[in-house]
Amino acid sequence: MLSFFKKKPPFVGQVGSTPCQLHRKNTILDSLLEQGLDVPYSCQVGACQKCLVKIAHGQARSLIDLSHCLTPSQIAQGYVLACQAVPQSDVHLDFLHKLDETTNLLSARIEHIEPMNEYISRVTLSSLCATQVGQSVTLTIPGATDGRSYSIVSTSPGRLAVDVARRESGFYSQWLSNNAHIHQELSISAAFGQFGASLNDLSKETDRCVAVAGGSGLGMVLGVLEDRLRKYPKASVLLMHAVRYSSHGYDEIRLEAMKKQYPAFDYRVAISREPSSSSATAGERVPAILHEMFRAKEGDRLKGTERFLMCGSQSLVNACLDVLRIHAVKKHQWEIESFGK
Amino acid sequence: MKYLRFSAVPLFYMPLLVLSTLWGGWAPLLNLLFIFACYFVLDRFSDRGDVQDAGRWSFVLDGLMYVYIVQSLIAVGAVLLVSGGHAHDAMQALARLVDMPVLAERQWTLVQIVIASVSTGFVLSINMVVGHELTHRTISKLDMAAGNLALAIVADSQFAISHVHCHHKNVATTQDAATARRGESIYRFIVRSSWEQYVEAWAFEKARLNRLSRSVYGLGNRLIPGFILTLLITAISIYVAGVMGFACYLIVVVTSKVTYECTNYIQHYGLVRVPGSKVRPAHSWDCRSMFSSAVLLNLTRHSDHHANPNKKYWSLGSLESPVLIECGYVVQIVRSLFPRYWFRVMERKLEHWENRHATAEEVAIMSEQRRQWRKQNV
Repeated sequence: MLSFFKKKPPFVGQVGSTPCQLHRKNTILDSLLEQGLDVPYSCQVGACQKCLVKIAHGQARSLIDLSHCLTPSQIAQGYVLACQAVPQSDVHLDFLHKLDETTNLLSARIEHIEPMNEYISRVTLSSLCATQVGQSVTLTIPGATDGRSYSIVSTSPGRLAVDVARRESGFYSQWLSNNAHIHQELSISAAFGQFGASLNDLSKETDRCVAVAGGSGLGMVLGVLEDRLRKYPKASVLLMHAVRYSSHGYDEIRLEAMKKQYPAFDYRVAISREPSSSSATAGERVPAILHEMFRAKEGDRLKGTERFLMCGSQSLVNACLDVLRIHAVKKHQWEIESFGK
Repeated sequence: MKYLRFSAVPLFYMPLLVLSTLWGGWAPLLNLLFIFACYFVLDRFSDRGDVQDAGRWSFVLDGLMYVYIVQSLIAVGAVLLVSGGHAHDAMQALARLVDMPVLAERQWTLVQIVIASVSTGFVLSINMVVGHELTHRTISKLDMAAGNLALAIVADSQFAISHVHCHHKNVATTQDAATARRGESIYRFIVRSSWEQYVEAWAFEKARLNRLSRSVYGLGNRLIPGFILTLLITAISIYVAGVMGFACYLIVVVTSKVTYECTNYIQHYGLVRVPGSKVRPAHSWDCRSMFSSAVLLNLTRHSDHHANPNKKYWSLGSLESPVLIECGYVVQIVRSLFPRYWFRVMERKLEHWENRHATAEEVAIMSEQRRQWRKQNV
């Protein structure tokens, strides 16, 4: 009984290879700074995200609602803000940002800009930055101080490509998709994240993968799926591309080629604001299609044991997650990446 | 002594405020003048600037804030009693209780009631200070709730969002509503900052809830519970004292907000920072005046607060404050009410800041500002 009143010892933390003590009633950042550890931080109120840290092992409780600053994917991966989180057990900490990010910036040059449809362009950059499909990089255009993150859709030695969705009021997207900027230099950060990493656990070809890509998220999802199909050509993969209008679809030739090459690969384009016009398109929203597939008695039925990959707008990803939760799909069976509103 | 230092408001000034309001006559005006005199005289003395240790009884220093919040509700209640004409009955009962017939003869004219409301509003600007301290403590839900209550009493519940998520992130940049621009008068700042803080707090919550696919008009919006609480206090004001009660509560709220915005004005006036760069102590004007620091819970030690926002109020302060304003907050606010004089005083300080404390990028921002002024022929 009296042990309840005894002061409990601090938890043990590990930053890289450095061990440290984490007090139970202090934030992780406060404990680290108290011990003189050099870690990245700035505002200390959970606004700037400089102290974004992944809880690689153990548990920590966030003191604030992280949904305002982190993507659902980051939250699902166990990221917290060190200045607004307290440890709940011994933890291994993996800080996303380095101490001085400016020293980690490399330069990249725009090599090619290919319009994919009326609003998406594929921008190929030459850079020495080591990257993989499914990772993201932060690009900073000349004259700007804040960068923007883009997902890598393909890589080749010394080159990488990103898909840029042009927005009317988007300064970055307008600049990056402007042909006048070919051969211009810009800054590029080290690549981070790894969308699609969970597919590596799916060793069996019989394990089915269902992927949802919204708008410009198609490029990265296709890249990730292509990697899996190259390894396991007989793997069952269903891809749904969510677009508003039929003119927003892209990469059709690549999709058709994959369908011919891999017999267990299939794709659908879900058009939310137009009626269906061909066999490969559905005049419905992706969450509704998923719901119907779960309820189907036969044919293309989802059992809830598949691996789900979702990459798209916040609202699309949230709506799909709601469907998965309704049908009791377990958390470890989905991987998400979201952008914008 | 260190506990007494921060107890001046809850143990002395708040009881004095409530008593002066209930006493009526010119007592509220005299009380207001007395508070000003304290600021002008006692702020001539400076703190040593070193860090205070809370010792074993830090809960006393926390408790003082909770006592203050209860007192602020009592102070609003006293104004409502006076404005609704219910104070006669209360004072007659008090006169019988303490056997002082003079208490039963108190009178309150309209002008005196308005002065009592202004006086209460001025003192209740400390609600913002207490709310500020408590809403920084995300580690304690009780502190957060108490801080939001303190802010809702003075109808400024948005402050918990705009201050923590916007001001701390964007301080000393043009993206920040609560940073006074170089050459901006206090009158323009009060209107702009008040409006923009509401806009940025609402936009922040809207963006957050959009990401969760939730409605911005539901209870998930953290601004709405505070607004409801303020509406509840307003409804009680109208119930207790009718239109007069509503008017007096409005005066209290507006005076409190204007007073706090005046402190916001002087805290970062004219300072610049590269967006996204680390906040340094030099991005706030620090003030070591003893009286202001004691009654405003070390809000004056603003450099240290922005550099270390998680520090409790009693441990704020550093011997290495690079940029200082002297004579206390109220003296500086009075100076700022005369823009030409204020600009002249601060230009000298800003030149010193630019030469001694600005980084090369910050000097470039200031040069660009000057270039723009020349273009506009300012």
